[in-house]
Amino acid sequence: MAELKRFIVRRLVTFIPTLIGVTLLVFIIANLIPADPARAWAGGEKASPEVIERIREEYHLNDPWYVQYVFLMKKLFTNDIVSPRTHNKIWDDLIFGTSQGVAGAGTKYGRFFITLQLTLFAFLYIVFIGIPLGVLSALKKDSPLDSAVRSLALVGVSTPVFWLGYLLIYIFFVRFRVIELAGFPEPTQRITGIMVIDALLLGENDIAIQIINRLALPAFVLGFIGIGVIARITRNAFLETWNADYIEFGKARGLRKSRLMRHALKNALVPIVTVLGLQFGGLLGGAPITETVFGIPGMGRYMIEAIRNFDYPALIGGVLLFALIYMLANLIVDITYALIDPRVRY
Amino acid sequence: MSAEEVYEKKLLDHLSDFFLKGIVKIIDSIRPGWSVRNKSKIDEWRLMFYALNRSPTGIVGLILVASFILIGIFGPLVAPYSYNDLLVFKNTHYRFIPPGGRGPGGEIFLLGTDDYGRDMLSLVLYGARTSLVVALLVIILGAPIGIILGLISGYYGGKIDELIMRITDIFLAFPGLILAIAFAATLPDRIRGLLETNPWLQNIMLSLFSLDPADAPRLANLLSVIIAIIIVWWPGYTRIVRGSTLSARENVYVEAAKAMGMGSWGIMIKHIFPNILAPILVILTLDVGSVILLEAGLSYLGIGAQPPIADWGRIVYDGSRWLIRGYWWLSLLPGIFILLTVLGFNLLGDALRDVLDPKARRSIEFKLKKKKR
Repeated sequence: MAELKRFIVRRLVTFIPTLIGVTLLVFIIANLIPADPARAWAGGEKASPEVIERIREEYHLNDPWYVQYVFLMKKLFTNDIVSPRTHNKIWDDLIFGTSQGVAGAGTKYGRFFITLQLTLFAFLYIVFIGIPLGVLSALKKDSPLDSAVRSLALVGVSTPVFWLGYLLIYIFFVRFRVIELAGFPEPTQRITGIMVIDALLLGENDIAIQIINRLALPAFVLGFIGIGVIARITRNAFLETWNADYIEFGKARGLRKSRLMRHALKNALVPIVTVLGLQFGGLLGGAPITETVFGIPGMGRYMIEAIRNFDYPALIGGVLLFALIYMLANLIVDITYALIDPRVRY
Repeated sequence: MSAEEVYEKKLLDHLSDFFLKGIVKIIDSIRPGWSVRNKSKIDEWRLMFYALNRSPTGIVGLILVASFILIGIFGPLVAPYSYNDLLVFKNTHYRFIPPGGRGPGGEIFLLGTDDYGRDMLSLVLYGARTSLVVALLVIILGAPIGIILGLISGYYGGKIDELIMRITDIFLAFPGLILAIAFAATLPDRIRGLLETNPWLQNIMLSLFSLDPADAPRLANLLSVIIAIIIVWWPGYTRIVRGSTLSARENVYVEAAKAMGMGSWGIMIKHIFPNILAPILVILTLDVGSVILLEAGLSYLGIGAQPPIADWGRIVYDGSRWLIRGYWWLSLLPGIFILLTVLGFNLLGDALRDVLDPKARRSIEFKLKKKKR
């Protein structure tokens, strides 16, 4: 385990230059805009010069770019910088939640947690549809089901997420009104950060059902690409282990099929977990479009609004968080290897 | 091994032979005697074509890709209306005509019309041009950057490799879509200036995208999407090329070329590049699809092409407002074209992966040859 600890520390240290690089890159992009951000933040053409000057002072916009960058990073570190667009502190918007909120409604939940919840729902679809489909397809190799599952992966990566979203909205909302598209109920108290879990913990079952009802379709849309990809990977990995010597041996010993399948699946898990980890990043990346289609006030929408309104502090904060989660997801994948497969050593 | 020894000839094989003969003739006219010197190479190509002709996914992919390219080239020329023909100003009854419905003048609208009375079929045809040109420009401008950096990184190794890899790390550390949005949203002002000072560039782009000169100001957004996609796209490429270069570098023929005093660039271009071309071609084919998908996603988010420019992603976005009212064809029909196009490239890339892998193909060919005897 000591080796694993050293490995984790080493990986965490490499995060730092990457995070600096990422934020610097976005900072440079933001500075490419010739428009005057202070004017935009103050309310456009009609803004009074005093207000613009005050904003310039507040965000150090008159200083050279590296001073601006250091200032921004320092303030982000202490959560001391206010988004000029939402007038909330950036980490309050993204993580801690705000008392009086943006877009009409206050929320105890940060934008990140809304996206996280959506992503977790999508993950459930991927795991509980993708993996069984893959195993089934491997067991019935070369059957029509097998080719259907294999083409599902190709169709999945070829489908425009927004189009699938509208297709399902048309079917499930316009034709048969079985889902809800507006509103986002919240439990009365924030405990874990994931709304559904909080609602269940508080015993507010109707709110939990409303949330599930609201997220079922968007999560499916977000996870659609992943379902096919995971099914395909599971199929190939499972086929490989299903033909391995220890399974043959197990068959010879007369083990039950369910027992054999458990052995095979466990040994097939390494590639599956890798791709699941990569999918997590992909899900986050797909969030902006899915959230736009279904009107979910998550982190992806937040970033798009920030970009449209020249709100760099929020943009850079969001990018920092995105990059951090992305890298953490990869790290967790590497750690799970060691947990699943005792042969992996660091 | 020649193709006749392995396969029974079919119609498609004659077609591909015809196609290959044409290409060989062209090369021969430039370099006399080329086909004689490279006979084994041409035989290899024939085998690849024959193998592709026998892959159902490859054929479906090829058909989809070919029709996309043909529509992209000729679509705007045969479109019944222009993309900015707002028929609603002639007669309000041109609004929301369902697919296959008739307009007030008795004319048939195969895919219906939108809220401005624009013919959806024409929009889709023009949109194919937009997608095609975007994908082509991204590949032509972006792939060389990724390939050259990957070759350098893999071939030289050491500090320069470390530097390039750390830069790609930064780009790959968060979702490409977000980065592309950021670039695409900030670039247009600069590009607008560039286009205004270079009218020739503007004219080339207008004719490439088949746009009305009145839409010249909207070119900047379209071009910034292309640049944004290139910026987020090259690092993945560099990674793949680097990996292939690393293993190709260890081959004996590279050693031999070095011993004969060949320069590093000569080795990279003449010996390593041709040997890693197959995986690059496969990834390129798959990536055309993902570029089209990314571009559609960006314009869906309102960042790429601005109306009235016809762009598949943007059409879906504009039409989505009317979905709740039941006018499904405005958003759902154009999306099918995105799906089919991207699916075509993915199917073709998948088939190419098998066809271009000499080991996998050879084992099949030997089996077939035995059977034929």
